[in-house]
Amino acid sequence: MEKDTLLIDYLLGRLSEPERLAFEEMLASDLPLRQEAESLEKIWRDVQRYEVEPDAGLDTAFYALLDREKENQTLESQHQQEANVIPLPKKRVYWPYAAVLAAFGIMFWLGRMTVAPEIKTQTVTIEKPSYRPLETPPAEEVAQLEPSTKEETKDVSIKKVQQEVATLRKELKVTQELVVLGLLRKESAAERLKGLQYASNMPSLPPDLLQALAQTLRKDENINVRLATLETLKSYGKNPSVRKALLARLNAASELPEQISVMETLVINKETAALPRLKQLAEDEAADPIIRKQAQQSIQLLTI
Amino acid sequence: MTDEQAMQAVSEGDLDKAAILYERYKKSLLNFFLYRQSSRDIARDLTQQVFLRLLRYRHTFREGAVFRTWIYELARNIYNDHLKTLRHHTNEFPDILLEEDESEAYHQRLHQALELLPDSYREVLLLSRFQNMSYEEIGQVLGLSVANVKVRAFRGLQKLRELYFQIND
Repeated sequence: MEKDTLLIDYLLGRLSEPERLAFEEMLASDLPLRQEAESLEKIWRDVQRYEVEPDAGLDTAFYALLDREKENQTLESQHQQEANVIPLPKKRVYWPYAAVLAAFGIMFWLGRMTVAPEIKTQTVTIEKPSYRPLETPPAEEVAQLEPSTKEETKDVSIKKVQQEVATLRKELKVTQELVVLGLLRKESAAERLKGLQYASNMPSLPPDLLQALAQTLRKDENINVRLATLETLKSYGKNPSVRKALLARLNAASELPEQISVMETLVINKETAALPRLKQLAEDEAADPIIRKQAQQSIQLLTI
Repeated sequence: MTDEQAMQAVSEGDLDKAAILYERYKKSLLNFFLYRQSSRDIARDLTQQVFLRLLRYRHTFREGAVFRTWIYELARNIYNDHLKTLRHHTNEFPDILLEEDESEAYHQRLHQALELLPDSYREVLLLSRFQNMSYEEIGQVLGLSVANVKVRAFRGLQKLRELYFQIND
C-alpha cells in the first residue's frame, strides 16, 4: 500500500524533488513496480495530452453573457433607485380647506344681506356678418404653381428609385427573418444564440418571428437560450403570443436567474396578469428568499 | 489578483472581474465536461452555464471560501442537472458518440474509457488533472479523507488502463 501511495503521488506530480529521486531509485530496483509505473504513466500522460482548447465561440458567448449581466445590473440598480424615490402617500388633513370654504360662504351671505339689489338694463345690437369674396392670386403666381414637364420626369425617376430601395429593404428583411428562423431551429445552443443575436439587432420583429421566439421561450431546453430570448422579447410584451409565453414561463421557470429575468420583463411590460403568480411566489415559504423578494418588488411596481 | 479576490470583487458588483476568472478556468472546465461526455457542443454549453451561474449566484460566494472548490461545486451541480434532463427526455443515457476523424481514433478510445470509468474514480482524477486540486481540496469537495482520495486516484488509473485495453480489443 505504501508503494501504491508513493506511485500515485509520483504519477500525479505530488512528490517533492528528494522524494521523487528516492522513488525513482526504488523503481530502478523493483521491476514489477517499474512496469506498473510505466504503464500507468503512459495512460495518464495520454489523458493529459488530449486536452481541447476553447474556441472563439465560447469566448463570444461568455462576453455576450457578461454584457447582458452588466445591463441587468444597471437595470436592477435603476429599479431600486426608482423604488426608493417613490414617496409614501402622506396623510391628508382636510379641516383647513373646509374652514376656508366656510369663511367664504359666510362672507358671501353677509354681502347679500347688506347690499341692495340694483337692476340695470342693457341694449345689445347684433351686427350682420359681412362676406368678402376670396382674393384671386396674381397671374404670375398661377404661372409659378404649374409644374414643368422636366420636373415631372425627375419626380418619376426618384419615385422609381425609392420603390426599388423599398423592395430591396423588404427582401433584406425577409432574408433576415429566414436566417433567424433557421438558426432558431438548430440543434446547437450556440447557433440558436447566434440567431437571437441577429434578431436583437433587427429594428422591429414581425409577428411570425415573435411567435417563433415565444415558442423558443416556452420550449427551449437551454437556459442561456431562454435568457437571451427574454432579453430580445423585453420590449414586445404586448404581443399576445409573447405575453402568453412570458406568463407560462413565470409558472414553469425553476432556475433563479430565469425567474428573476421573467419577473423583470413582466414588470417592464406592466403585465398585471402576472400578479396572482407573483403573490404565490412572494408568499411561498419554500421558495428562495431572493425570488420572494423579487416577487414582492415586482408586485409593488405593478400595483403603483 | 487571486481567484478569491477576483470573485469577491464580482460578488460586490464589479462584474468585469468575472472575465479574469473565465480566462483562468475556461479550458479546465471545458475539458472537465468533455471527459465526462463526448459532445463538444454540450461541453461548451455546460461551461457557459457555469459562468452564468457564477454571475447570477455571485452573492452566495462567502469570504474565506476557496474559489476552485466553489466553482467545482457549480460545475458538478450543472452536470447533474444535465444528466437529469437527459433522463427526463430520453429515459436512458446517450450512446457514446464517435467522431469520424480517424486520426483522433486513439483519443476517442481514451475518451470512451474515461466515460466508462465509475464516477467515484473519474471525479478524483479529473479534479486532480483539470482543476489542479490538492488531495486535501479533493477530499473536502467529495467528503473523503486524503488517504481515500489517493486510493481512489490509484485504482482509478488502473481501471482506466483496463477499460482502455478492453475497448482496444
